[in-house]
Amino acid sequence: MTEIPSFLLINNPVTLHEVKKNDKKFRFSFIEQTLNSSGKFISTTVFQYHSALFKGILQQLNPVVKLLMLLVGTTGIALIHSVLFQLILSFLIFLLVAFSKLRLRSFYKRVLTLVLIFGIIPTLPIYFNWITPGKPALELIKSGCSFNFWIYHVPNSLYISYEGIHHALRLEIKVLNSLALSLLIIHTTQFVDIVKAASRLKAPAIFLLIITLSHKLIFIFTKVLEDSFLGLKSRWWRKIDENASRQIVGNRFLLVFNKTWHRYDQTYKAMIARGFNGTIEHGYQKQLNRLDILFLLLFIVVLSTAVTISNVFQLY
Amino acid sequence: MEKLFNLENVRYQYNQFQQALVNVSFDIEKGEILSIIGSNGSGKSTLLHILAGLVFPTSGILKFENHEISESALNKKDFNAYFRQNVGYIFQHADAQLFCPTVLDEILFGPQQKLMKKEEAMDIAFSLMKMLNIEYLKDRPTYMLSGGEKKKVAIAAVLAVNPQVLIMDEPTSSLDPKTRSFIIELIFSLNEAGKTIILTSHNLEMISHFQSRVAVLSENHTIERIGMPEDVLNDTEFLIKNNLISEHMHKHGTHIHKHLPGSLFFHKHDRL
Repeated sequence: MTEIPSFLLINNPVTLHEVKKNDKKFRFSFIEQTLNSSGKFISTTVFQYHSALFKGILQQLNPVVKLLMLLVGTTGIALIHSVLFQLILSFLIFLLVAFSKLRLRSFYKRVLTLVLIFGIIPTLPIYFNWITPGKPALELIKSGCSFNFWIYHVPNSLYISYEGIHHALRLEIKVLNSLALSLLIIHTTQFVDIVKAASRLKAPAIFLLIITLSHKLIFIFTKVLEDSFLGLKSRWWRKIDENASRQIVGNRFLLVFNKTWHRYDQTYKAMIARGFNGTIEHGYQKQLNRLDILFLLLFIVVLSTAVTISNVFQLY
Repeated sequence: MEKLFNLENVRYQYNQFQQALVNVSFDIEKGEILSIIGSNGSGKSTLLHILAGLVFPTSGILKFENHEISESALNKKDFNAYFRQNVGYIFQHADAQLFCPTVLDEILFGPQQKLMKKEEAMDIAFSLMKMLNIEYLKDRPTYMLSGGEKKKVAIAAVLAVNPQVLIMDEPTSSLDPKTRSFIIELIFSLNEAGKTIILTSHNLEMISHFQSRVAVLSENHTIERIGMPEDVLNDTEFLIKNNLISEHMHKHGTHIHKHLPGSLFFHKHDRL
């Protein structure tokens, strides 16, 4: 170590007047923002251990019951074809969310983001007469002739059909209900309790091992992402040239994955050092009480009634 | 002395169950060294994150040179540029703040944003690398460095902008003894040059050398006491209560006994 460079021994603060007056919004690049928002979304969606501590209705239930509710619920949702019944289920799930004292706005914001990715975007083609022929609801393109393309028949006009809207909406609402129920269970149960409950329900050990390690990996990944974004934020105030900016983004991807792998590797070694041999011990488990059994029975009765009525009377 | 930072009833909570800071109010004056001490989880790093404008208080007000630091203020390009050039932050885990392809790029990142001429920026980068003995690392990717090397690169990268405030989270952790002594010397010199230094540390002995104010964050996440080191660090009862010192064991021959750390951390020295 040698002398301190002379420029450091001059205190020359930057004043607000010195920086060019620019009231425009400061923004990180699109990729940086996307990376950061995705990290935040994943961490707030997956890691909600604090909401599992609220004094709500679902938080009082045994994790085994909640896991059974999830299994029965998602199966029931898939079997109910009536849009009206699906809407009633949405309302019941909404009541459960409210009684579990979760913040409705942020909960449904997350659910709807996932519905957009897993429900709306994949079902978009169903709206059109190419996939679902039927009565036109909105005509988009009209060409002179129809033709065959590969396995598809392209009709002479492209429109959104009433039948398409019905099918797509039915699928989307199923996705909405399944996701809302899944997130409700995740947000009201500690992850470790979900794993314990799954083990009690005789889920394969390899499956539990994979989800436990994946959960750990996602946690480390989002933490590294968050730290690295704060580091960037602390030192970035002006747009730099495109080439350097691209290099930084690329390098950050590399660093984030590298650090995640490194920390994950250390975590895994620590597990081995503490005697981990491929099986996960789940410790003590809570016993089912009367409230648990009553709640589960009520849930199964409501859902099976809805499935039966919907299928017997062929309600769509 | 002129106020640089002003905190009024700053509160920060991660969620309903996790408080990080509770009603924190104090001022930081221009040109001082403020050491923040506290046990693990008391909120030291969160407080530094707030002072560096990286996270924002759940409630309360933070001002820098009488300008309120908020998310909306830092969303403005000019204010962000003004604040980031004046306030440099060195993270506890340096690898969080290194994102450029090589060590040299990392150090040049700040000067490039200041639109400095290439020769001037290079001079600054090489003088900093020489100061910290890391010239040989200049072309190395940052992820291939050891913990101590990363810390040195992070220090160089922040100093390259020559900020008027340096916020350092555990500045001497993971450094070898020689570099640690140099960093303490550097802190003194930068402070002599008029820069404000805010740091956290568990090393009470190092803090006692600074002869500047010490703020103690309690396990209740509030500022328990703020004062000169001779008042704070000589109050053994207070230090034990706030989990800053504890009894430790000693072995003399075959005899093992417990006692508090020696007579105290505060030794008055003349400034260097």
